[in-house]
Amino acid sequence: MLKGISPVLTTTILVGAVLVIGISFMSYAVVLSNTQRVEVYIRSLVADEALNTLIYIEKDIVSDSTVSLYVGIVNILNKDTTYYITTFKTDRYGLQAKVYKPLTTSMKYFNEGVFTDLNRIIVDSSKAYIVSLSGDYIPLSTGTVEVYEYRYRHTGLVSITINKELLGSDDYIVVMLLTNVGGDYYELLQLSYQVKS
Amino acid sequence: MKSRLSKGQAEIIGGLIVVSTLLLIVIPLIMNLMTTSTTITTRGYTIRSQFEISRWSEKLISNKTHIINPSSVDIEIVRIWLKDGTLKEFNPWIKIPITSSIPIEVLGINNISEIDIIVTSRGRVFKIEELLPPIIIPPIQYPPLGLRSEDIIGGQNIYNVSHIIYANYSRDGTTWHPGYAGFYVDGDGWYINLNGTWVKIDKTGEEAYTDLDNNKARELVVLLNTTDYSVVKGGLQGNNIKILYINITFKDLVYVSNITSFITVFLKPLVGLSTQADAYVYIEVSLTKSDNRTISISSPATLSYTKVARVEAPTVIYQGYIMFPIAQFVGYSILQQNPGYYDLTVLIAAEAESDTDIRCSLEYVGVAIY
Repeated sequence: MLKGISPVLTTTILVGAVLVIGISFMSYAVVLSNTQRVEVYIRSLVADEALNTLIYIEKDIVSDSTVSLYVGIVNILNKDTTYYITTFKTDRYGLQAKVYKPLTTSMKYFNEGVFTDLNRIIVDSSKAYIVSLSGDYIPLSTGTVEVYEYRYRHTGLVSITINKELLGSDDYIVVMLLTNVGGDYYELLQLSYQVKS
Repeated sequence: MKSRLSKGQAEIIGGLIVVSTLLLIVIPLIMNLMTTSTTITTRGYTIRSQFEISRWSEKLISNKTHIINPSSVDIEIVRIWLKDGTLKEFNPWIKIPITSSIPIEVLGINNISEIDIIVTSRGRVFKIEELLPPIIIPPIQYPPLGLRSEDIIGGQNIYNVSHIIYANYSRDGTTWHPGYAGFYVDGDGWYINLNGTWVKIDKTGEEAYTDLDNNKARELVVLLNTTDYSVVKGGLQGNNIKILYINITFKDLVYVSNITSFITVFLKPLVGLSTQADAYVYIEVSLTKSDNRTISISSPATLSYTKVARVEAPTVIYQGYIMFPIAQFVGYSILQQNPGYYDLTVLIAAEAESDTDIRCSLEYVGVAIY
């Protein structure tokens, strides 16, 4: 009798152990897959948004004390979208920039014939991600970042005024467009501008 | 032995169940994710590519009164920046369909020079200077070389040309509009407009208008008739040579007073050859008193020479001038002593090998009297 029960118990224990390990692995795989899914989803969302968006400098006015950039924004699907705009200064052009220093600006949007102040939000830089040269999103780590909320409504013109005293002679102004996904801000596009001396 | 086998089988079966479960669930999940992300991105790239093609197809030009869309896509103007720094936004946007135009008044302005920038719905920024045709500053022309007949249209301000005779290039069929200097009446000969009166020109031969140098300026007098040739012995290597000799007289063209001190004649003769052979050309200008043919002065022309190799035949273009320093030279001062109207005669003599046909013309003659 005991001889008969022993193999059954052994088999049951082994099957149970295998099931436990299997389910654990499966759960781990599902969690991993979910994490991947979220990351892939965010990347796809941001990539899709970036592909649908265009920014360009429409006009620049440089005075003795300020630089005014009039930045045009186009959503190619003409979709009402909320963008977040921020400015930095860097010592390198475009993606070659390694250090982004936040730049205090005054930002307005053009609507029905007048420029109106945009809503300013202070964001913890750990929640703002920029694209690295390798294509990964990395947190900004600049402390806090000022972003201006701009609800795109088919016109797409934002004026950015920067005090020239804040700029070094070799500095580039970087205008960065971000999108908000789940409370985090991801870089969509950026453009660089250097004041001609 | 059998028991050991059963134990082994159970473990293997259990393991297979777990692995199969993993493969069945996880792999399709990952595949699904990959497919979804790829689909989203591909769609995005396709839309963006189409947008960029349309965006960079946009083109605008202007003739100062209209904004024209010569591109292959409809263009919508979102706003314009004016030179005074103000901004005009349009709601709805102003649409310019393919190959259409809009008057500038539609943009709320009266003069195109008020505009600084035009912004389109696809984010193109056109500086107004890009739209306008380039301003071409003509090169300064120094007399008498490099002139075309239509370049000399007046003269008081540049050369003090008192008479200019040239053929207008805008002939309307066989009709020549009044006011043009020279014209040909079929079967009747050549006429010039002199002080508002059409005067027939005496010359040795007449043919239809041509444009030997292909500069779109018709020549005033053309001789092509082979009966005007003289064929004589004495060419190179004993060959026959052909000599073309033409006298073109403009009656009563030049008025010389007793204080006239200097007369300059500008002219552009052309010689067309039927072969690549060279021609020897001599040009002389004479001033002969209209009512007393014994009073006459003449001088060879100082000429610049250009040979244009055209497909059908070469053309030799001469541009030149003749100066008569009347007050300075005793021989010429005879004109001061005999004031009145003088005929101007241009003699063109061209010589070539006898197998070469010569055509000869005169695009313009200008006279400056000081």
